[in-house]
Amino acid sequence: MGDVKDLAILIVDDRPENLASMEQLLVQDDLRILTAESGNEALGLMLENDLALVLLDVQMPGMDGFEVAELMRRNERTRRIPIIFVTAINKERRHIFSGFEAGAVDYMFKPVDPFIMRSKVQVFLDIKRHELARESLLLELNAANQRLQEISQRKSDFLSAASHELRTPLTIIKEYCSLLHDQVAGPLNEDQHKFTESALRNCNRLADLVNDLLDLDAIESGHADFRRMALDINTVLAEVHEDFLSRCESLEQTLVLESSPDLPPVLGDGPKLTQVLVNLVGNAHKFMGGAGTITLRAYVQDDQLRVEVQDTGPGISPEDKDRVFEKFTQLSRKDGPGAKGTGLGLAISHKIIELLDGQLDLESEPGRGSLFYFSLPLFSAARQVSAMVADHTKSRHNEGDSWSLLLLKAGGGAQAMPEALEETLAQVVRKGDDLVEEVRWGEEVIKTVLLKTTQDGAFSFLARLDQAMGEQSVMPCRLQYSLMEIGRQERDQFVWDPESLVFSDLALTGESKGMKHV
Amino acid sequence: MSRGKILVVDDEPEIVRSLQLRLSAAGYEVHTAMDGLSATKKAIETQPELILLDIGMPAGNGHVVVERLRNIGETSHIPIIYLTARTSDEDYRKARDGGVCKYITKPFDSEVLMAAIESQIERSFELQV
Repeated sequence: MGDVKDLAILIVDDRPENLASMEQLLVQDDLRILTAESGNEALGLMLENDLALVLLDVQMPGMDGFEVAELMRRNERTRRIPIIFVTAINKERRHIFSGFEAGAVDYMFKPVDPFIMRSKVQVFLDIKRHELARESLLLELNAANQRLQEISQRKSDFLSAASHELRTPLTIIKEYCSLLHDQVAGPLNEDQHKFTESALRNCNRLADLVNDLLDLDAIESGHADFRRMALDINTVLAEVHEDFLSRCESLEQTLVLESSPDLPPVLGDGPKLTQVLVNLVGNAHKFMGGAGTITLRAYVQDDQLRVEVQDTGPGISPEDKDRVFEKFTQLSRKDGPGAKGTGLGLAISHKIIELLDGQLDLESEPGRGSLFYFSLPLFSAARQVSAMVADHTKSRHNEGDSWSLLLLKAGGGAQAMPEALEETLAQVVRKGDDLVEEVRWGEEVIKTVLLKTTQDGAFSFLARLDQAMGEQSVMPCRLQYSLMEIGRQERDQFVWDPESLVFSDLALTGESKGMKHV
Repeated sequence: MSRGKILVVDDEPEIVRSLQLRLSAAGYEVHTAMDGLSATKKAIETQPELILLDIGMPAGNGHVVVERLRNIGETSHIPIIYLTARTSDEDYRKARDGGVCKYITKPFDSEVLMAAIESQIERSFELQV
């Protein structure tokens, strides 16, 4: 079992000769047997020792066995200790102890059968052994987790410091190559021009690699800053399309955008999705090498938005298909120079889409091109708030127990959120701990504030907000709030239900108006 | 005739030198500083149209320099471009709060940098007219 702790039981009986014979009966190597001659003495020992079991005589002068049990039940430290009542009568009083956890109470009738007594005690000892083993495993597990988190943090810190140190010399190399290439130091012949171009290209590759490494580490260690909100995928697609248009034309590639202007908004992070699409289109552009067609496509399918990037390039063999999303995978190709990536782009994209509740996948056949695709959830206010809680609370490795979700809205329907509130929130919100987001909910705009505190802490936040608003001496406005606490267990699976919301008035007036919020 | 005055601030001499070469070649008048304190002094003395500013530096990092310059009447209006190896969210936020007009990360693309400088200098000349 691996535990070194002694097991202990307590025998309570007012007659010393009974204690002695019971002790004799139960003695075994790794068992500590404590004895008490009265209820009071027994309760004291229970508080001092971690007991596997109490054998409790019912008929005792002063406090009887049932009274001892009643007192045990009222104390947090003793209420879970199993009891075997040793009794001659009083079977009808058993119901009093129905409040105990099932299996924690048993009865033995005098005269005690030694064999039955020993095996009953053995059962409770086994239970205790398992419990102790589980506890120590849990402690080990927590300690190991803690260590892993520290190691992971050290790795991230190292990577970040290393990348910073790499950037400076790289900047200098690149800038001097670039000065030569731009002929600032005098005219170059054709070869010299080619050489500096090649040096510059590889400086860029190294810079990309440094950026990708940092990116991947941030995403994998949960430090990446995700902001999911209502997003028109068409703006992202248009941006990527425009970015690549001239580059594709230079290789005689056609870049087609197939989308409809009335697509519903998705729940996504604009910059992160741009990064993924730039990677996918960039790969298609690079690996086709020459002429062909790249299609960017978006449509609604099964209550989700599906986004595709299709090319008419060389395709990917089935055995390579499983590896493309792994880190540092560079597939075998016959391309010339220039078609090299960092080998991290698809790994990063895959991870990003996963964190946006989608999955990046591909269909491909050698010689027939590739189709990379992913789906995203459509936007709803409830999804956004749930995602915000999940993203933000997950990204901090904290042991803090509670977060609170505070929603603020200007009363009276579609009234705009007053600017003063915006500014005041920025003042009141503490760095790193609290997060403010805006959620569009039908016609209304709600400010959501995610606070790393319990509900009580959230009320003091509201008080600070109230005071700060007062200091701004703005027109009083009707502001409503709704507050909920998010416990540790709920964090990962938090689902926000807008239907269940109750808003209360927060009279934002400050001291100048002599009013207080209720 | 100079196209405008630029103050280049970086604690790495080779970066200062290479930028000086490029900017002079492009026709700008270049002043340099290698720490936060002398950056503030040079900015007051030379009244540049633009400051290229590193963040990680001795004697007052870039954010401190920005705050100082914003609080001094003669320098509060000077546009600033960050040119830095730092990429943390904290740095981006401080840049935004300090009214830094562009954030360029090292290693930079010289074309991107020159385009940013050009458009910024044009804008400040327009404002002066």
